[in-house]
Amino acid sequence: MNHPDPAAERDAEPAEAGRLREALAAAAYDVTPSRVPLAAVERRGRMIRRRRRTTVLGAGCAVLLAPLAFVTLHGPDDGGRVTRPAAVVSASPTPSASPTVSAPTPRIVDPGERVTAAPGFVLWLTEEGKHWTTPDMPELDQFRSVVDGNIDRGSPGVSMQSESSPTRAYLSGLYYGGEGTASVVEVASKDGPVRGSLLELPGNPGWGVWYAVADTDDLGGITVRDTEGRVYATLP
Amino acid sequence: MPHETSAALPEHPDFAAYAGAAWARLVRTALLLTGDFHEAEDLVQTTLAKVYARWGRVPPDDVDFYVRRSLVNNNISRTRRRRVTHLLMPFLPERVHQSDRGHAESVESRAAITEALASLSTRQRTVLVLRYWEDLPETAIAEVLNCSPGTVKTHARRGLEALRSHPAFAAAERPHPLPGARP
Repeated sequence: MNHPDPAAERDAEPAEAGRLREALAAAAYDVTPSRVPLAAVERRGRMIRRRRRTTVLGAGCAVLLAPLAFVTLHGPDDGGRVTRPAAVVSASPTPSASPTVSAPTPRIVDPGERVTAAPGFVLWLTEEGKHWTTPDMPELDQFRSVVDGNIDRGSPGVSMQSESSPTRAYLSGLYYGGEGTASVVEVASKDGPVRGSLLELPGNPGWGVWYAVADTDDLGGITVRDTEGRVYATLP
Repeated sequence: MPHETSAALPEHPDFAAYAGAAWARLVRTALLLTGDFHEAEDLVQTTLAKVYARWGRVPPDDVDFYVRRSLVNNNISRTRRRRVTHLLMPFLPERVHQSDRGHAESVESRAAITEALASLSTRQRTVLVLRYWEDLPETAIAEVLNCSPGTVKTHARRGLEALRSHPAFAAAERPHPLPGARP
């Protein structure tokens, strides 16, 4: 594709553009990307291709069967009758955190111990970080490091990774650096707060993993609270 | 019955070579788009996986454009659905080939630009990153975003205005360029 010379466009740039260039370059070179995870990328790519083929085949069958289904359901003398859609199961809001006599604490798991949050949604912790699989890609072990230097465990923080469809979201993330003992996690959603669960390794390592399953992918911020009800870490 | 042709050759050896060569730069671009290193690597992995699934259909002479547009669209979808959100705090990654001189100032400066970029709309941020980091001309950005060059100009102007008035960007010292950073 032919485009104008960027250098020519630079001449007409506002004064702060140069400063922005330097700032962006400095921020970009502040990280050291890992090696390309080629095997994981290709595995995911193959899954995407398989799913797309399945979808295409399914759509093809649906196209072929739809006229038959229409005739069967409506019959030849079905003038004017309105077919109602199937009942929609409404998402039930998860109750929000309420004061309890003894505040919950994270479940302590051994390194490598598998925790099944939902079918296909499995998490486990090692000293290096968080590992998990999701229902769409159960063969793909995913990983977030807590030791690669890219999170600052000295400051409170919480992250989120998710795999979602319009009706279900499999949520998980790291939390770290807060004061006290993490107790509860809530994710804001259009249906109200979604309460999750916490996992930690033995020995109070200063970080842990939270997870939840939500009935919507319209999600907001995350708040982890400690056993006293104070904010341990939050992600707006 | 619909079916896919066998034209796609995902095992094409060029994909590995392309991914290996493009990975670091894509992650850096994604970092500027997302503000979070882990989310950046996620975004690039997702993008490359989707590209791999269609590798045989990607025009060989236009791979960069295809991948860049896929990256940008995946990021826009991600932010629209709020599937992941941004950390509005500086991260302290491992560094290589960098002296400690001016370290605190540069960290502060990078935190400032991260915070300032987070205040922009996704499209404003995308335009500024493509224009001032990827060094793309406005016409190319318009093709990536599937909009007119005039819209790109508007996003760029408003984005720069927003940065100019942002306290973090206004107060930050000039950053010190790093080796490899383009002027």
